[in-house]
Formats: sequence, structure tokens, C-alpha cells
Amino acid sequence: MGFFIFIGKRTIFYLREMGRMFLFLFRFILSAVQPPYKIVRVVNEMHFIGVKSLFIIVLTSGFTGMVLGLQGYHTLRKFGSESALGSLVALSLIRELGPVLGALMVTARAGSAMTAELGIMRISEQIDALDVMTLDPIKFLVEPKMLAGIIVLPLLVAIFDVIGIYGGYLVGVKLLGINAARYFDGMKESVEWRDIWSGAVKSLAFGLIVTWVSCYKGYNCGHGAKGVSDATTEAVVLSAILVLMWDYFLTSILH
Amino acid sequence: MIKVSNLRKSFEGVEVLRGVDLEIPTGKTTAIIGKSGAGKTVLFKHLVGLMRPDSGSIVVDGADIAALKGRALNNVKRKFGMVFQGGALFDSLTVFENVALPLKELMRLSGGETASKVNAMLREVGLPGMGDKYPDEISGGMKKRVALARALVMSPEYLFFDEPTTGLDPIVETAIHALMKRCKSLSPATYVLVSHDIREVLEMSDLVAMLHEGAVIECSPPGEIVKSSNPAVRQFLSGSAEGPIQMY
Repeated sequence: MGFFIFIGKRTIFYLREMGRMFLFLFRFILSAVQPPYKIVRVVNEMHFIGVKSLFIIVLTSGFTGMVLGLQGYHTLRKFGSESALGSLVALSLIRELGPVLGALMVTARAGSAMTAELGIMRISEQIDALDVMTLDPIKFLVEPKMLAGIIVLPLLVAIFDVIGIYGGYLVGVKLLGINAARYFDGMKESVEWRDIWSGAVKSLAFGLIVTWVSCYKGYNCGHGAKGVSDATTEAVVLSAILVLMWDYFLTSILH
Repeated sequence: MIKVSNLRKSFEGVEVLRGVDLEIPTGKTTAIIGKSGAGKTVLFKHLVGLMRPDSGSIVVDGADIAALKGRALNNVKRKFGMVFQGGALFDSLTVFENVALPLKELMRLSGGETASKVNAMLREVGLPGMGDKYPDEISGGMKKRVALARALVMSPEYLFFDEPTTGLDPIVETAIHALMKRCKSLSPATYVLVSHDIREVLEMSDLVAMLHEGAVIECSPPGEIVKSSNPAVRQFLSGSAEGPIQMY
């Protein structure tokens, strides 16, 4: 009996939490369509999420492309299809690895920082102070972060894809001796607009998921330093899980 | 005037406010006292519109903020200013930007007008030339003064203080009290303060409301409350461990 009570309580807890998260998203959408528009704040957040994540994106995408090049070359050689390396690297990056790894990197670097920032503002009553001043904290703090994330993630993913493809080129062409023309020609033949489009849709969706979860967890964090630390951990874990789950759903819809 | 009637609030089945009735008269300073956990902060958050009650009303100049939402609620809240216990200054903004924020966002004043108002207010609270500092570069007493400047710059009709001098040394405490009195003489707002400091409460307030077990058990001027026959009030004012107020 106790087991069923436990399951029931946890189910109600998670349903309630989901409801709160959707209400939070609804408040963001309402706020985003109503003036005043905080353009300067959005640009500042784009700098924080985008420009400051550039180094980690370039680093991870370069090595991802290099690993793809190395693994792909040894696998394709077994079938005598080394010339398909360009297609393999490009399609893997554009369709899957670019959006997913890009989103995970942004979660780790910017999402966790967003949660911690909002969490500290919550526990030090800065959010309450905005509320008493009748400055809507969603408009003032959350909206610029979420809009910036939605705009910036597709751009970061595009950079991830390009650097990753050159990573694969470095290993496949420069190190393992595949013909450069065959590497790029294969890519041109196999990559379609539909692939680029699906990558862009995924990165937009992941931009929303990462900033939504990170802002929600920070905005509603518990008490004290432990509350902020728990919220940050939950934001990173939940963002990563949702990104991977939505990747599956979007892949099945878009292909 | 603020009139609180039969205010009730529970958290996860625990009733923190059990029918609070309180009248806060216009132009006076009303202090809310009570032991830790008595519900002072919860009551305070209801008064400034940060929490919504389970039942009851909070009528501010004829408008029940417990029933209002959105723009109508904001119109009432614009009458409020609040000095939070820790200051609640925005740590990514300078002192100047903290005080300028409500002017910039709500009144949309020009840069020159904002600067002259903010600098005048910083002089008023004894912090001229401190505008470029960040909150973590100034002392606790200075933070309280910046928070007071930020609250006063919008000329509120109601000013709320949450533990205005907690954690400050006695000299800074006296300076804050003097500043509060001077501000009150300059702009005759209604002051509401929550405090544990009996000396502060008796010195600063015109009316003292004692909260015990989720209800106001006595509300009277300082001269009368010190002579109260209520055993809980007497115990709290004397700071005795013996009496109806249990420590745990």
C-alpha cells in the first residue's frame, strides 16, 4: 500500500511541476509579445550566451569532427567506401550532433549560469524587489534570456557544423589522405536542404528548452545556497534529458 | 490606510496566519513585532502584494489587493516602497543604477533628470559620490541607505521596512533611525516596519502590533503596549524565556 501511495505522490508532484513549467512558458510568451521590448537586454544576453560560448563550441565541434573523421574512415574503409567520409561527417553533424552537442554545451556553460544567477536573485530578494517596484521579473529578467537563447543557439549550431566538417577534413584529408574534392563532393551530393532545415528546427527547439528549463529552475529555486545548487543541478540534468528526448521526437517527425 | 481583515494563509497544511486583523493608519509608523516564526514576514509579504492569501482582505485606500490582479494591482503597488532586510540591491548594477532603475523603467525620465534626482537622493541618505560603487563594495549600513534611497526616489505613500537595522552596529543603527525620522519629516509617508529590536520599535513607531500564533493579539501605541496585561506581550517585551511564548 505504501508503495502505491509513494507512486501516487510522486506522480502528483511531477504533474504539478509540469503544470508550473507550462504556466511559466505561457507567461514568457505573453511577455514577449507585449511591449516594451528589452532589445538592449536581449543583445547583452546574446553576447553572454553566444559570444562567450564560442570558444567551447569551437573546441568541442573541432574534436567531434576529428573523431567522426577518424572513426568514419576506419569503418568505411572496411567496405571500400572512404569517399563517403564527407557525407558521413556532414550528415551526422548537421542532422544530429551539431544541434544536440551544441545544446548540451550551451546548457553546461550558459544554462547553469542562468539558473545560478536567477537563483541568487531569488534568495537575496532581488526578484521580490523588482516585483514590489511593479517591474515584471519575467519581462525584466527571463524574457531577454529566453529570446537570446532561441536566437543564438541556431547560430552556434551553424558554427559547430562548419568547424566539425573542417575537423573531419583535417583528419580525413590531411592526415589519412582522402582526396579533398571527393570529401566535399560527396557532401554536396548527399546533404539536402531538408537536412539543414531539420538541424535548424532542432536547434531552435533546443534553444527554447535549455533557456526555459534553466530560467524556470533558477526563478523557482529553494532556500539558501543549497537551493541554488540543487536548482542548478536539476536545470542541467533536466535540460540534457529533454534535449535528448526531443531530439528523438523531432527526428521521427522531420525525417 | 491599510485594513487587514481575517487574513489566513497556510503552507502545506500548516496555518501560519490564522485570521489577522490589523489597521495601519495613514501618516503613522506602525511596527509589527513577534517571535521568529510568528508569521511577521508572511504578513509583510501579503501587505506589499508579494503573496496572495487563502482568504481575507487587505484593503489599501479602498482597494482590496488580495482580489486585484495585473495592472489594477500594480496601480496600488506603485504607492509602495520597500527596504528589504538585506537591502536586495541588484548586485550587477552600481549604487547609482540601483537607485535610477525605477525612475528609468517606470517614469521614463531623461538621463539628466534621472541623474539629478538620484544624486539628490544619494546626498539625502548621506552617500554623495558613492554612485559608482557596486553593492559588494559597500558596508551593510550603506546598503540599507541605498535601499532606502531606491525606495524613496519614487516618493511612495507607504514605506515598508523589513528589519531595518538587523546586523548593524549600534552607531550605524542610530544613524539609520535618524535617517528614517528625517525622511519621514521630509515626505510624510505611512511607515510599516517589522523588527525584533524592542528599543527600535518603541522609539520609531506610533503604533505597535504584536503577532502571536498567527494573529494580532494587541495593537496599541508604544506607551500603552509596555504596560500591557497580556502575558505573551509582556514576555516578548521583557525577553523572558518563561511564559506563554514557547521557544520551539
